[in-house]
Amino acid sequence: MFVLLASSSMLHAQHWISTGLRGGAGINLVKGNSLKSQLEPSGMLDVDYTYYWRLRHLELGIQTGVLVGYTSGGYLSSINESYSNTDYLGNQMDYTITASRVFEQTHSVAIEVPVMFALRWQGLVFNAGVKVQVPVWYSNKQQISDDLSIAATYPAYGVTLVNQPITGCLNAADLMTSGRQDVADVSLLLSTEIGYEWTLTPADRVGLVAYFDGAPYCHMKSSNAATNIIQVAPISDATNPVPTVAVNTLVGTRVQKMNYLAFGVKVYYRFDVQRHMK
Amino acid sequence: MKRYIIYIILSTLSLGAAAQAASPRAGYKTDTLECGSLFTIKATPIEGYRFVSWDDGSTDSVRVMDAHENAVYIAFFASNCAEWANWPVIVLYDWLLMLDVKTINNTGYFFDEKDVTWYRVVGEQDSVAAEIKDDAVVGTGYYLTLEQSFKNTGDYYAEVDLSTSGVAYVCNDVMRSVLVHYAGTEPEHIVQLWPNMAMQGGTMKLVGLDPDEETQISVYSTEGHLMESFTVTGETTWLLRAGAVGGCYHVHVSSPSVETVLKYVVYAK
Repeated sequence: MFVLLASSSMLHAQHWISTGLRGGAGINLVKGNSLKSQLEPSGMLDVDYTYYWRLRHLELGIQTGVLVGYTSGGYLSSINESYSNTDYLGNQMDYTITASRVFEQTHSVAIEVPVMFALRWQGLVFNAGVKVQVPVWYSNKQQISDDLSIAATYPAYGVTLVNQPITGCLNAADLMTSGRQDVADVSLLLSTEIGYEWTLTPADRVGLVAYFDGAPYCHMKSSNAATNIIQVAPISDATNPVPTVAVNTLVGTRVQKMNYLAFGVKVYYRFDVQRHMK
Repeated sequence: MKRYIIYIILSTLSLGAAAQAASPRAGYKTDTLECGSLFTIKATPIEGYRFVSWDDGSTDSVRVMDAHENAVYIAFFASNCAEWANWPVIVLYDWLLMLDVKTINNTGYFFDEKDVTWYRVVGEQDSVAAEIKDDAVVGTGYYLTLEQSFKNTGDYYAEVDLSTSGVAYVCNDVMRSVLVHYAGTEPEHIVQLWPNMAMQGGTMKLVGLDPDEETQISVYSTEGHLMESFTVTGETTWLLRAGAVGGCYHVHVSSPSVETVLKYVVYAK
C-alpha cells in the first residue's frame, strides 16, 4: 500500500519528528501457582520519526523511533511449602513453611523500538504496529509477612521445631530482600495509539494519544531453577549445625508464563523537519 | 473342717512391709485358714514405692476377705518418679534435646507440649519428692535448644506432668527423662534401658552404647545373682530379654567412658 501511495503523483512526502512523554500503568499477566499480579506505574521518554505521505486531508505514513523508560510489576501470593531434608546424621526432617503474604515488586528500564503504521486525518491520530522491547536494567524487592513459620518435624521422634536457628529461621531483616535477577527476555509487543493532534503552526503540532501495548508471547526467561521461595539447606556441619535459609523470588519460583500489558496516555510535540530546516 | 491355702503375692516391683514381716520368702505370704474365716490383706509399700492395685482391679490397699477357696492375691506396686527417670531423650548435634515422643507414645503415655518442662541441674539433681527444688527451669515443650552448643553448659532433664491426661499413671503423675550430661565439654554417653518395665520374657533395648568402645553388660537378679553377661563392641543398641521371674533386675554397664547400673522391673502376673 505504501508503494502504491508513494508512486502516486498526488502524494506529498513529509518528515516529522516528535518527542513526548508517556505514562500509565503496566501489568505482567502471569500464570502460576496461587499467584496474582498487580498494576504498577510505567513511564517512557518517546522520540519518534514519522514519514508521511499526504493525500488531501489524509496523512498516511510509517513511524519508528526509540523509547526509553521505566516499567514495573507487582506480584502477590502466600507461602505454603512442604519438603524434606536429611541431616548429616541421616535424620529425616519434614519442613512445612507458611506465610500469609509475600509481595514482590519489580523495577526495570527498557528500550523499545516501534515500527508502526501511522494515520492522521483532521487532527485525529491512529497508529498501530509492533514494538521490540529490550530490558536493559532490572531490580526487585520482595517482602514476606512477619507471620512466616518454618516448622521442621523429626518424624522418627514425633517432635516439631518451629522457627529455631537449628532447623532454620529468618529474622525480620531477612524478610525483606532485593536483587537484580532479570526474569524478562526480549519481547515483541503489539501496540496501538489513538488520539488527537493540535496544529500550532503548519510545522508544529502537539498531541495527546492513548496507547495500549500487549505481548502476545511469553517473555519470561526460563533460567530460574528454584522451586521453593524459602529453601532450607540440610544440616551438614557438625560444628555449626545451623542450616542456611535461601529466600528466592516469587517470580523466580512461581511464574510459569508471563505476558506484559501496558496502557496510558502520551503527550508530545511534533515538528516538520523540512519546514524547520528552510 | 476344710482348709484353704491363701497366697498373697506382692509384685516384685517392691516388697511391701507387710509381706516382709510375715513371709519366709520376700514378696510372698502364705497362710492356711479355716473355711469361712475372715482375714485381712494389706498392701503397704516401702519407701519410694506406691500401691497401685490388686490383680482383680481393686485399689483398696486394705481388704477383708472370706476364705472359701484356695486363692492367690497379687498386689501391684509402682516406683516413685525418681525410679522412672528413664524417658528417652534424643540428643542431636549437641544443640538439640528432644523427648522421644513417638517412642513414649507407643508405650501408652500421651501428653501435650505444655506438659513438658526442661530443667538444668543446680548442684545435685532435685529428687521428685524433694520439698525444696532448686533446679532451674530452662524451657517448656517437647524439645530444648539454647541456640548454641550444650557443651559445658550443665546437665539437663525433662519432667512431664501427666495429671491432666485423665489417665491414672504412677509416680504422682510426673514422669522424668534421663539426665543428659553436658556439664563437661564433651557429653557423656547416655545409656538407657527402654522400656525399663516389661512382662516376663519381654524385650528391652539398651541404647546409647559407644560403638568404639568395648562394653561389658551384666544382668543381675533380684537376689543379686549374675544371670547373664555380654561383651559388646561396634554396637549402639543391645537387646535384652526380661527375666522369667517377676522382680527388680539390675543391669551393670561398664566401658571406658560409662559406668552405670540400670534397673528394670518384670511384672509377675
